[in-house]
Amino acid sequence: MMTSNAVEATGRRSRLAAMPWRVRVCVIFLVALVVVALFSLIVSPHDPNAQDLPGRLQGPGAEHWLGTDALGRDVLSRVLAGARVSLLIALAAGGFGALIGVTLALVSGYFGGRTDSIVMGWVEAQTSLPFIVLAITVASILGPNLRNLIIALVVTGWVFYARVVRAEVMSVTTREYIAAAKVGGQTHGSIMLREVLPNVAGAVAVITTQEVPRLILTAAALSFLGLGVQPPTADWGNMIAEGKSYVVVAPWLTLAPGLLIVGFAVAFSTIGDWLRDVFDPQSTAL
Amino acid sequence: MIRFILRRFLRSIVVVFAVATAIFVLVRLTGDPASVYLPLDASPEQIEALRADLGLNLPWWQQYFHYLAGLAQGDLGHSLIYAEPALHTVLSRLPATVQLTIAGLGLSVVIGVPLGVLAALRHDGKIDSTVVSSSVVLQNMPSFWLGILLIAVFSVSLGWFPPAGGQGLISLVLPAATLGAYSIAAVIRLTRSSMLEVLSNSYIRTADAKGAGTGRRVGVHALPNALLPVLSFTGMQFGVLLGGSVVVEAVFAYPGMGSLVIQAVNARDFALIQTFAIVVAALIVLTNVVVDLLSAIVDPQLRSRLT
Repeated sequence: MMTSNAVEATGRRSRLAAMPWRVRVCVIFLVALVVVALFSLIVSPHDPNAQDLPGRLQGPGAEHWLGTDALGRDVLSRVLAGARVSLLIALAAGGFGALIGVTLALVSGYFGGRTDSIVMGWVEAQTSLPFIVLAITVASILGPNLRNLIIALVVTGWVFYARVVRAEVMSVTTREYIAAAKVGGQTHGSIMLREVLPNVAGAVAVITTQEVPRLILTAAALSFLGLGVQPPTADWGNMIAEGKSYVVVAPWLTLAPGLLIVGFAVAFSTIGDWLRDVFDPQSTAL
Repeated sequence: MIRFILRRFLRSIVVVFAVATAIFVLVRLTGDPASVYLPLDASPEQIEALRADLGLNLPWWQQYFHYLAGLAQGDLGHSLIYAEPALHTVLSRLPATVQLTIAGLGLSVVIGVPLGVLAALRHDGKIDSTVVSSSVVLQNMPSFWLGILLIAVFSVSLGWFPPAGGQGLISLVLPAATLGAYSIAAVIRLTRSSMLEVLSNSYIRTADAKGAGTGRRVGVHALPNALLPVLSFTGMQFGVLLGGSVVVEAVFAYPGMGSLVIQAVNARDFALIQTFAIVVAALIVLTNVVVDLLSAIVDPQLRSRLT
């Protein structure tokens, strides 16, 4: 058992080290985006909310690299402020979703039986409703703002962690070292945290990389619909909504935030696809 | 087989029931349900009328019972904007949305399957990598953004298609392409990996050895088997597209359920939103039952396991 685990781990390590160039590009892009977005808190080219009506709808130029919007606000500064909002959403919604989903998956997969059928019944019922419909319903019950947007995303997102991780937990639970830990007198809680959790960490990482792009896309869609981050706070989704009417005369208003969403999501999925191949070479891409 | 159908059907009812219950709980968790169902500037008389209507002074289990009894009779509350039963309003918009969804699904199969097969046949070549990387980009594109760009290019600049929906078949093209974009990409990737898997099977080698040409090898031996997972996936995508139609309809002012929901969101017409969620859930579980049945009919292995 131990030896095959060790072989598995070394194979995985060497596959992790052999990162293909397109995955490297994605990692560099994401790191750069995070650094620039955080750095712009200290040195922002302009105040993202400072209006300058005479200088409205300027094209990209030396003063405003990505132009200005309908209220004369600097698009680059707003896009960077929007990046911080998106990062916050990804961290908070992804983090809490993972926490809830993984906890329930551990309990459900480890104990099985009735707990398992209740949790999985709930998961199945919830996944039969489209993510966005549920998010719209929750956000409109709670009211539109950033906090409620994150709550709506957590409420809708945890099920994906629960479903996949539970399957992993179930297969890990049948291994001999778990039986050994039980015989050795470890408590259920300690077995779940020390023995099972480390062995499903790979699956959690893979789901996170698939989940984050979806969170970003859904958050942007909700903000676009007016159910998420409210203006004047800059957010990629509401920037696109504001730029929509000017798409022909001032395409940079729509293109800048849109391209960043696509870049962000593509980078994450590319890393995710690669990670999945590393952790589970047999699985097929979807 | 009949037991299987019955069981699936029963589970569908449970799912719809669970969705309705979740809404009931959530609305009451936020404090005063009257504030959720009514606009912010509602008059005291309106609030009183709604309180009486929802029975908000009753204990929660009686409220819940009334709510479920209403649901069973198709009474999901009154729409504020349209001043009629919410179910009636939502159902009147249903055909337009289903039309859009089916058009999007159709596009994803018509475009996705051939491109997926092509990529698989040219595995590891230039075409393969181009198709795969463009489908990754397509899958990660926000649909509302894609829709705005398509309108800017194809209706405003080129004038090929009308910018808004609801003007006959031609006005269905851009919304359907926008809605289907994600599924097109997903179908491409699924068809490709499914084809690659099937092509590596021994019976394909046998067909090869018997001297079957590429066309016969692909069309007769590989494709039908490779398409099985694609079929059931497409069926499951129905629900995803139905949900996605909210965003796409908002962009194209397409007169379906999605536009209605956006209107409801802006007017805080919660009865409509709630009805929409329940109708979508019901539609999706029904489609899933149909998809399960169809795959059981098409796939002999699955059929024998069920009977």
